[in-house]
Order: sequence, then structure tokens, then C-alpha cells
Amino acid sequence: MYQIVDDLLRWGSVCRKPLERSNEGFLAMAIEVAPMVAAAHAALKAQVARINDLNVYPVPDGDTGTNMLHTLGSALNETSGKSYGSPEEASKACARAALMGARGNSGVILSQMIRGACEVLAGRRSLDAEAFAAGLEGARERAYASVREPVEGTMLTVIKDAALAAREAAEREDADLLSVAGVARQAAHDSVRRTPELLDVLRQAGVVDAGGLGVAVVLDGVYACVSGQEIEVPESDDAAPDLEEIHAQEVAWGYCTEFLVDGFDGDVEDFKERVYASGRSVLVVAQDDVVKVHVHTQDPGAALSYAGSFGRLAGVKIDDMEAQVRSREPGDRLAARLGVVAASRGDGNRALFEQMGAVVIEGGQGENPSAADLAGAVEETGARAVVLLPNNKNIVPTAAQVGELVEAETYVVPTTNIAAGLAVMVGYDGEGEPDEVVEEMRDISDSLRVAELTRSVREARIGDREVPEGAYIGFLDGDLIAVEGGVRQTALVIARKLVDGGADVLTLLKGEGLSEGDLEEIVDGIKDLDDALEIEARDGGQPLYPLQMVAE
Amino acid sequence: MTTALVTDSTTSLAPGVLERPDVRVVPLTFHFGEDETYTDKLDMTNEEFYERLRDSDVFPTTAQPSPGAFVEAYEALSDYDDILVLTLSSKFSGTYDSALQAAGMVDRPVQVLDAKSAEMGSGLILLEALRCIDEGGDFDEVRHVAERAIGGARVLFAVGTLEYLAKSGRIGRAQRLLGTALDVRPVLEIAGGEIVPFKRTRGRKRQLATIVEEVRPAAEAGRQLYFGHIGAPELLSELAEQLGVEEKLIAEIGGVVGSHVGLGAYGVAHL
Repeated sequence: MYQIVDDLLRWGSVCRKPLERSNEGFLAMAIEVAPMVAAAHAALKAQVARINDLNVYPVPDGDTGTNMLHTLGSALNETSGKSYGSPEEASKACARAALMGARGNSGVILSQMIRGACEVLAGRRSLDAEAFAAGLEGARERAYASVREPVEGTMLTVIKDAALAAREAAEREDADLLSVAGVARQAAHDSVRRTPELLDVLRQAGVVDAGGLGVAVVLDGVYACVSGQEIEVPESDDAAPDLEEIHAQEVAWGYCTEFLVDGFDGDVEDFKERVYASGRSVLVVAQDDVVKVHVHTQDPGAALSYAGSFGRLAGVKIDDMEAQVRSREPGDRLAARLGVVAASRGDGNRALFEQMGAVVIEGGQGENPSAADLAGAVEETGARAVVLLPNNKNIVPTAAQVGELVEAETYVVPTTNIAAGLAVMVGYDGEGEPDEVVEEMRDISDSLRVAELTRSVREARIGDREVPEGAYIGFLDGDLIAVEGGVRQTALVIARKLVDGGADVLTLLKGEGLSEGDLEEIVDGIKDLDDALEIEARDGGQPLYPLQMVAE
Repeated sequence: MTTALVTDSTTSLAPGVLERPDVRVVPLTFHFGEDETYTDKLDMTNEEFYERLRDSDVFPTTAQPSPGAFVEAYEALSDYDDILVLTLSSKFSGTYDSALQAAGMVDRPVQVLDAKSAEMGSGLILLEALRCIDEGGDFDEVRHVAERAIGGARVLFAVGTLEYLAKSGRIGRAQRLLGTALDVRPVLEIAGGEIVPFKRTRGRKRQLATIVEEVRPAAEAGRQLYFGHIGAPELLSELAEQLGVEEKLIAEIGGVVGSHVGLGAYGVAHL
């Protein structure tokens, strides 16, 4: 049910019953401008949250409804409780007030619609069917003229369709103000529903145009004022997003879970709230005693058992979205101009590389991938130019062979540990000019100082150093620089060398064999060495190297 | 023939500009939630604003001036023959549209120019136009000077995070810098009226060094620089020091632009 009736009651009886009409069936303009504005304002006010929610950006900061409401509010303050000497005076005052109060892009366009309508009506003695249609045409013209590049699928289209329908209705023989206003508001709502067909961003976001809905709601208010009737509007059909679009857009996360609850018994609002809090991309649609749920969650079992307490579950469908992405065919991936293949070990490191746009191939110390493995990964990127990050000195020569096995142009940036590979990824831009991006990535690579910490597996002599079995040993740019009994001392010996060489940013990757507590103490110790140094520590999870470091 | 200038509140104003009788500034507004409206740079000190930005659950929204606000500014300048209007980039805001609509509502010649920039960049363009007026240039000359300055203005700036730009939908082509798993400090540029990525850097020092390297030729050529910051005066001093220049023009960036770039941003404009 439409909510405006309560709001309208506040504006007194004028809007509860049909406005006084003269014998010819029209409204006396000069008298009636105030209630019309009041009714439009009340209608918009009742729907403002719904309009704000129609946001193409996935953030809760939509303000289209608020801006339109402020614009009308300004006109309301001007006209409220006043009567004017002539239609011209009333129209002018109303148009100017709307212009002064126009807020935001949608508010400005609305103010131009009001201005256009008022300009037409200023010249009329009365508001009849023809004048109403002409007013909407004036609104349409001013609105289109106010934007440099009119875009269809917006409030412009809605006012255009409303004006067109009003004109057709006004030309019928039995046309009266009531029927024309009714046809216009219906045409406006129909037009709102079509906005996603005209504007891709709306279609992708699964919403109708917020400003367009605002226009339709304003016309609802005007119609309510003219008719004194309550208006029924289909419930929130504008807010039901297309599931396919959600799937296409959503980052792979958790399990896509869909089901019905039949014979739903309980508080739907509470249920909705709970489901909304439990995951992402949530959609809960209730009709009679059937509730349809779509949610992306890490714990589908919990969602199902919670929902099961409200009724019988039906049509349960659960997909592992992360697995779908892992198994995705190369052709499905939207290929970048420039791709990256990174050899890496450890779950944490894999996730970091993937978030930055690389295809990861498992491999590193003790588990080197073959050239064919790397070639497969290059093809998986789907890109015609691909950067290879070997992230281990033993993989560098293999990477150099890959160019002969694939059609894509390949570039090797010879990174020697995983931390270095991640630092180099900062220069990656999949849509940039490949040559320039590769140069940037090589520049970063050349500026890095690369260190790692590991444990000796046997007694050895390296250079002039005796290395006992089980000792913690540290390498800097491939040279052994530390042999210590404890992991923290070794890490700090390495860090001191890095800091002494001059560093702004230090990246640490924690691997197997290093505890969280050790890492914290190491980070604190490094801060004591140089408090201006910016330190970023991540849990990479690589085996064999409890710690990898890179200094920039 | 006399020329007056109108601009909006996102233009950084050099000392003395606001006091000139031939300059009018039309404010944008920002809003926390539905009921709180503030006029850019007037209703709240920057300190208050950024405290609010940090603490509020509600993300502020910003709004262009109404066409009516521009009409009032044009009408207030009735002593002048011509009016030149310089607005915030039309890719960031509908301010340009409001100014243009208002131009059609007064019966005097009003020429609206899209500065294709903001804050310090627009500030330098405005200064060029004012200098032309002060040197006795006629309307066409002033407009020509302003148009040339629009073509040459460049703003390089550093942000602590891209989060605010992304939230506000004004990130433009710098979108490509999003989605890095490491803590990255991007350097951005305003070019052709929009925000474009200049370079991804890691660490504050490297971010600063990137700007220094890029602006050094302009600084060494003795061109005028306009510095600006949001709660980051020490970084700005370091920037000027490394460029080997005095900070003659410093803007404290207001809430409207600040809502989009976030606390800790700083940068420099040159022509």
C-alpha cells in the first residue's frame, strides 16, 4: 500500500478530498498551487528512503531522494499557506523557490521541470486537462535543455514519457484533468521500470533509476491532490535486483545459497535482518507465506538451519563460488591487456598475488614448476602480453624459456623471492601500455634489496663461515650474512643490514616455522632500529622460509 | 568595458582575492545525513570537518550550488559589463551546469568556463584571469588567458587511501589503482578534468619523492606553484623544501573536495 495518505492528512483536508473545482472541471491555478506542491512534497517524503537506496554504487550514500525533497521543500516553504493574486505570480514564486533550493544534480533537473511547468501554467487561467499536458511538456523541455548531453534511462526519459502520455490522453474527447493526471503518473511508473533497459549501469546494478522514480512519485502526489484518492503502487518492484547480475558482479566469496521457506511462520522483518547480517548479496523476497532467500555466506548450513525453524525448506541450491572461480576456463576470464603469472608458495601469498591480478602457479624452493607449467599459466591469463615473476632464482632460467612455448609476448622480471614479487606487483597495471608497465615493474625490481631467513638442514661451510645443522641463516641479495641460534636474532641481523643500506619501506612475509609472537617481536625490534621506516608484515605461509623480506 | 569573475567555493583563493569587489564566490554544500547542511569552507572549520569525517558513521555527500545561487551572484555584479564564470571540473560536479543555466536567466552576457580542475589548479587559473583584468585586458583577452591557463593547469596530489574517492564515485581512471593487497600510496593527477592515476608508490617518502621529481622542472623554471593540503602541513613543508621553493600560496582544502580525497591528502598545482 502506498504510504502517502498519512502524510497528506497533515496538509489538511484539501488533499483528502477532491479539490474544489469550478463548473468547467478545472482548478483555479492561483489558489491551488500550494496544495499541489504540498502533495508532491508529501509523496516524495514518504518515498525518500526508497529512492535513496536505489544507488548504482554499492555504498550506502545515495542521496537522490533527499536532494529532490530539499528542492521541493524550498518550493513548499514559499507557497505554503499563501495565496497569490494571479497564476503568473504563483508560478513565478514557485519556480524561483525551486531553483533557489535545488540541491544535487537530480534536484537541479527537478527544479528545471518545475520551472518549465510553471512557465507554461503562468499563462493559463485554469488547470484543465490540456494545461496539465502542456505543463508536463514545458517541464520536459526545460529538463532536456538543462543537461548538455541528455542520457536516456534517467528522470529525463520519465518526464518525456509522462508528457507524451498526458498529451495523448488530453486529446481524447472525454478528457478531464483527473484522467490525464492519472495517465501521466501511470506512464511515469511504466517508464521507470524500463530505465534499466536504457541505461547499462542500472541494469548491471539491478536497480531502476532513482531520479526517475522521484519524478513518478512527484506525479503520484500531484494526482493524489487532484483526485483525493489513495494510490496503490506495486510494492518495491524497483528494488529487486537481477540475480544474474549479482552473480556476474560479485567477487567470489563463500557459498551461493538459495532456497525457499514454505509456510513461513514468524516475523519476516526480523528474519530479513538476521539473513542480511549473515552474508553478502542478500536478497529476501516474501510473498504471502513463501519467502525466497538468496545469500552468499561462508556457512550455508547455519543459514539453512536458522531458516528451517520458520517453515519447510524447498529448492535448496548451494554452489561453492570460490571453487567455481578456481576451475574457470581461460575463456571465461575477462582478459587484461597485460597479464601476470607469479610462481609462489603458501596460501597467504597466493591470495595476495591473486588480489593484485596475477595468475599463481604453485612452485618455489624445493618444488620448481616446469616451463610447460608456466606456459599453461600464461595461457590461463588470456592476455596477449604476460609478465612472468619467477620469485625464486632457480625458476628464472625456466621462465626465460616460456616465450618459445606460447603465442603471447612474455616478459621476465627476474624476482628472486616471493616478497620481491609482491613488491613488483605494485607497479602492475593490467590496462596500461605493456612496455611501459613492464619497465615500471623492472625499475621496482632493480631497486629492491631482497632477504630471506631459513634453517640449515646439515652442517656446512659457506665461504669462511661454519654453519651448524639447524642454525638459522640469513641471506641478503643471495649472500649469507647471518648465522645465529635463534630466529629473532637472525631476523634482526638481516634487518639491520637492510636499514643500514637505506630503506623507506620494508615488507615482511611470515612463513611456516615462525609464530605470530615471533613476528611481532621482530617488527618491534625493527622499529627500534629506524622509527621512520614503514613496515608491512603479512602472513604468506610459504614453507622452508620462516621469513622473507624486501626493502625499498 | 569591465569584467567581473564568479567562481565556486572549490577554487582555492589566494590572499586578497575574496575581498575584491569584482569577484564573487558561490558555495557548494556538504551534508551529513538528511538534515545537516553545511556551506563549504564557511560553516565549519576544517578541523571540525575532519574530526566529523573520522567519527561519523554517515559518509558526507556534497551538492552543487543551485542555479539560483549563481543568479544571485550575477545580479550582485550589476556594475560590471561582462561576467566570466570559472567552475569546478564538470566531471566532478554539476556546478558547471548550474552556472550555465543561471547564465540563461539573467539579461547580461555571462560566459561560463569549465576549469577542468579543482582547488589549487582552479586557484591558479583564477589568478591568471585576475592578473589580465588588472593589466587592463578586455573581456575577450581575459577569457583567452583563462582558457589558456585551463589548458596548462596541472595538479599532482598524494592521498593516504583511495577509499574516499572510490566511495564518492569520482575516482575516474584511477580505478585501476584499486585492489592492491599491499599498502599502496598512490600519486594522482587531475588532467582533462578528471582524476587519472600517475603512479603507485609504496611509503610516504616515495610518494613525496614522486611528486618532487615530477614538479621539479616547473619549480626550477620559476613558475608559480600553489600548494594545498588536508591536515598535512608538515608533508607540505617537506615537499616545498625538497623542491627548493618557498610556499607562497598554500590552500587549506575545504570539506567538499575533502569529502572525496580524505584526510592527509596534499599536493601542488602549476601552470
